[in-house]
Amino acid sequence: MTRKGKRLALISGALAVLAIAVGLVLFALRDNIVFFYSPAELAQKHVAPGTRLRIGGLVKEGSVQRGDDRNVAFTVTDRTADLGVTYKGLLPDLFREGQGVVVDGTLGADGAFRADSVLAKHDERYMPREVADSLKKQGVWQGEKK
Amino acid sequence: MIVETGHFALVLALALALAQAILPFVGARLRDVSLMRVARPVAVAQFLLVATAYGALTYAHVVSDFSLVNVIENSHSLKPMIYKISGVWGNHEGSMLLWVLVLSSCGAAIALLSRAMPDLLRADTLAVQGLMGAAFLAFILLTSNPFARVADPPWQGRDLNPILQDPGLAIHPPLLYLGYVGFSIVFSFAAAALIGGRIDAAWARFVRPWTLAAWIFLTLGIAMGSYWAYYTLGWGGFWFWDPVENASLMPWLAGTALLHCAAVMEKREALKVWTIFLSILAFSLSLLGTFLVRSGVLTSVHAFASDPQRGVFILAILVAFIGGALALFAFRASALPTGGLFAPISREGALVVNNLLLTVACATVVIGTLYPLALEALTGDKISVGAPFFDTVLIPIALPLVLLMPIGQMLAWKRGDLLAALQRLRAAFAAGVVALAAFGALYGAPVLSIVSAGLAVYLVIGAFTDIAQRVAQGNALARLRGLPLSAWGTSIAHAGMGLSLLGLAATGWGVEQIVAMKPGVAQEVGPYQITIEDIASRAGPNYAETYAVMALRKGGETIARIEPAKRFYQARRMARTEAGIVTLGLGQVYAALGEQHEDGTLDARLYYKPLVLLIWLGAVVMALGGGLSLADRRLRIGVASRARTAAQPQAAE
Amino acid sequence: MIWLLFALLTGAAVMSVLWPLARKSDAADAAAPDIAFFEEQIAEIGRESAEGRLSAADAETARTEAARRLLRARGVSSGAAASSRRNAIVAAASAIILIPALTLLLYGKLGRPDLPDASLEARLEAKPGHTDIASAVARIEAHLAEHPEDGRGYEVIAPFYLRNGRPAEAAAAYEKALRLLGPTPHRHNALGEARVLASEGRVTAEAMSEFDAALALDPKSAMARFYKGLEAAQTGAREKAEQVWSELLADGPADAPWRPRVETLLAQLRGAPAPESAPASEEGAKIAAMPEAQRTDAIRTMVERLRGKLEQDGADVEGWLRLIRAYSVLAETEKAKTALDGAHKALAQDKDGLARVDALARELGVGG
Repeated sequence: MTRKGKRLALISGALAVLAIAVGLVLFALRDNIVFFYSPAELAQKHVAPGTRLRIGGLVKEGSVQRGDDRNVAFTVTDRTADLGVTYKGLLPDLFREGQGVVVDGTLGADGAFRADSVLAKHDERYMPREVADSLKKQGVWQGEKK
Repeated sequence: MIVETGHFALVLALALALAQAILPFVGARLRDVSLMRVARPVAVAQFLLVATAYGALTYAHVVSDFSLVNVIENSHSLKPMIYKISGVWGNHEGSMLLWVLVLSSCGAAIALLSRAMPDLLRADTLAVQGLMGAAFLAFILLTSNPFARVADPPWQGRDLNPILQDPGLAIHPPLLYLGYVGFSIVFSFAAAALIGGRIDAAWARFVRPWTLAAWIFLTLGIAMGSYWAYYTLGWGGFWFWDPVENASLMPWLAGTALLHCAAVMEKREALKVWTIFLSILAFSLSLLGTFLVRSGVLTSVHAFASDPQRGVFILAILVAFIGGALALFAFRASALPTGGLFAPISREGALVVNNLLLTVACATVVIGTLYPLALEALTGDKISVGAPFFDTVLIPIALPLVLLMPIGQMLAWKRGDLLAALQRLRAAFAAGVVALAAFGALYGAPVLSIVSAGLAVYLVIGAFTDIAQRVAQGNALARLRGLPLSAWGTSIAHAGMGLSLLGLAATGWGVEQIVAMKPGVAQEVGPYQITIEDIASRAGPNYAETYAVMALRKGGETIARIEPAKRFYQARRMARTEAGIVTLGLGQVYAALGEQHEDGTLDARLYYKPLVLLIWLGAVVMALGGGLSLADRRLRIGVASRARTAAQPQAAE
Repeated sequence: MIWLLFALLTGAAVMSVLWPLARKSDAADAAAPDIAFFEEQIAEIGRESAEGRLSAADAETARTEAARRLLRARGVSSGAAASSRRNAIVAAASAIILIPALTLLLYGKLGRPDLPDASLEARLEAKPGHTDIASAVARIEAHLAEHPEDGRGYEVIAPFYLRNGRPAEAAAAYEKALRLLGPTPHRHNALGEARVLASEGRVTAEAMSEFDAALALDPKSAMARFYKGLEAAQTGAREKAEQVWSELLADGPADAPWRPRVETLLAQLRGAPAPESAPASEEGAKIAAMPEAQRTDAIRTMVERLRGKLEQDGADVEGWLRLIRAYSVLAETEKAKTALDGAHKALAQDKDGLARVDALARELGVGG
């Protein structure tokens, strides 16, 4: 091969790898991205049942009900709208009523949310950013306690 | 007096950093040797001043001087000494000071260890290093001054977050910083090469050890952070694709690419422009990581500083340095002389493929980390990009990379013989296929784990094939001794990668159970049975805990007892799960407690994780390989051989 | 002294710039290090080939390549760099002026050279006579840091924490005292009470476990029984709470300090209208229990006593506030007004107190 030919081969090889990578990224971004909503936003968006979502808000006081076999039901609220959530598994250490929470899962046809993971506020200063933002919007947030 | 001396020294360090940035640079342009040589003593003096400041801050923490805001907010007179010291960098201000300390120590190291370096290169490199130091010192003094005082000191401070009071966490940030900031030297070298318009094998020779050292620290730092997350966060995961973790992975990927590229550059004087680009990239990504973590743009466990003013300041530094370097690159790169030629199938060619795949992997992580931020800024939609995204994209990139690693090692410089290389790897391929079949027969699923494990075995065997075959010829002992350290380094580092991959593959065969356990009733976890023998409470130094005594049995025989616990920290009113972990060979059994029910049952997560330790051991082995390579001070040239490659392995490593 | 230190530091820093400028620099050939590098490389190839680790042909190829690089390095050997006297002087002058100037400017803005070091130990030693509570607490804490097994220390410090509104730390201290000194009903109770205060008055399961432990040691423990009743009341187990408290009242001595509080709570539990504000004192509780007419008399006596006290010592703002409120409640407008005037005279120096008195007067419509 000539010098030019070699360089051409190298460049086209690189481009091929890049093209494959870009394809992978786009494919993965389409299928593996999860949107984050507050209960109020969810109520407006008309999301199709079965879509994977991430919902953030506060655990409504008095809403936590523990069933058999580690089934838990509770309500996530942003003080504007509520969303019923069911979950089976262990709740994190910091899960408490009135505290911030983020749940991952899918919306059922009955309007209830089936969570497969529940994340709680990490410590007293930490609030999932998305939750803090949407609560600020609603005027519920009182700023960080120091 | 000690405290204010530290404060003054920090301000003085800023003035000196500016002198270090300006005088040698001007000297280099005027070709004035005296001015250029200002760089060395000034770099050392600047380091000593920053070290004085850091020492003063540490002293203030150790003696609980509550006239410093930083000490009030992050210390407590009753804290154990080790956490008083680690508390210095366990907060925003202190960790930035540590960052600058490492930065200036890198400058001092160049100044002291660069006798053989041309004046011009040294002057420009230290000038760039000084400019960076000045930018970060200004950032510290103007937005995050650790020496801010109060006139009327309180009698007690507000403790350190209990989750941060952990030996693993105490050493992990300094290691990461040594890695991150270590790349600053490489960045400065690249900028100096662009400014001076000269780059050759001698340049690469100065750069490679620094790249290696930074890479070793970064590798260890990432492994340490990952193990810390694994045993403290209590849900058995070791990598969460959290933006803060990605922030350390991005420079690691770029740094790994750079390492290989610099090898080509040193031995063959090829890929010059690309080496320069990667040098800029590796440190730019370190800066990006710093920005992401420090600005509060992302909120995560690590975000103890969320202050918009700081964010804007770091962003300005980021844009100035990355933008400046890239602009310089765009204008000057074409002026650099081109390097040696090589055929597509050769050691160089293989390293180009390696670089390509690593860079693409790095770009993927960058996209996955920044895309949610960009989307939110543009449309207001909030999304999360997690493990599914990274798995989908990175696995198809990583597996071919692993397949190519031993092949690349087999190819000769300049032009190689692919067929011969494959033939020499017969044994490794065979071992991989046997492992694949064995794991397949043993576990059956999942396919990805079995394929990865087969590849991992192939990689470990393949990494040593070259050495084994070289030694097998004739006088084994003499040949073994004659092997350059860097050849060992390469093989060991590649084998370490293989071990990590095996550990990762084995996660697919782990068992995870979330169960309600009744005391006395055995619970199956993989090949073991776990029984709760007792549930009790006790008080620790600053917490109260409920713990369960669990017996681990196999075939009726008790192997070990673990005591997972749930702790409650009074002062911060914070709960924390303390996992019970027992190491069995290379695998672990891991138990974390959930809630206790009224009927006496206890929720628990039980994991059986075979070979899990290999994930981190592999990283340690990789770092060891890097260390051996670093110890190799020989100057070698990649030898192009003539059409005998198939018959005779080459001495080139 | 500190400025001398600063001057020395600055001097040393400036010297690091001046030193290389003052030295006579031999203008080395800029390419020399590169040439040395390639020569070294060629020597290395020779050594390898001599040791038989490199075949002759390969060594030859490598040597050719290195020699090519060496030639190129020699070729670029740029004109030797010089150093000019003028440049050095300009650089030195600007370093001598600008480095101290910049440092002083910035440090003057940020620094606090007037503030000495304030290590906790030094501060504790500095004021041994003077004992405000905060420094006493710090002193005990320092002592405990050195003697973490001193249970008495924890027992002493815990009430300080409680009084300073740090119940969680009080609980931690009581817990250590309990562990180190061994269990007594009192220690269990104290820990339980601290935990209740730490959780804003709720009797948590953790707190209850302490009271249970106290009861196991001393079934008659009044405090433990009080909180046991409170826990029952908080969790809605009214009957249980009633039972526990009634028994407590029946068993306890007639002059027990806790009696009025239990009585009030019990009355609330039984559905009696809660008094506007819980009686603040023992006496108040007693008064609250009296029949209507008798009660008014008792209150008047108490109010007059308060007035007498305030005439003796008028600095008690709370006292004046109570007096004015009392007259107002008793509908004795004139006396309320007199009290207001008295307060104005007595509190002439105390602006804040006066403001509060006036605010109350406005609220109650006293003094028009």
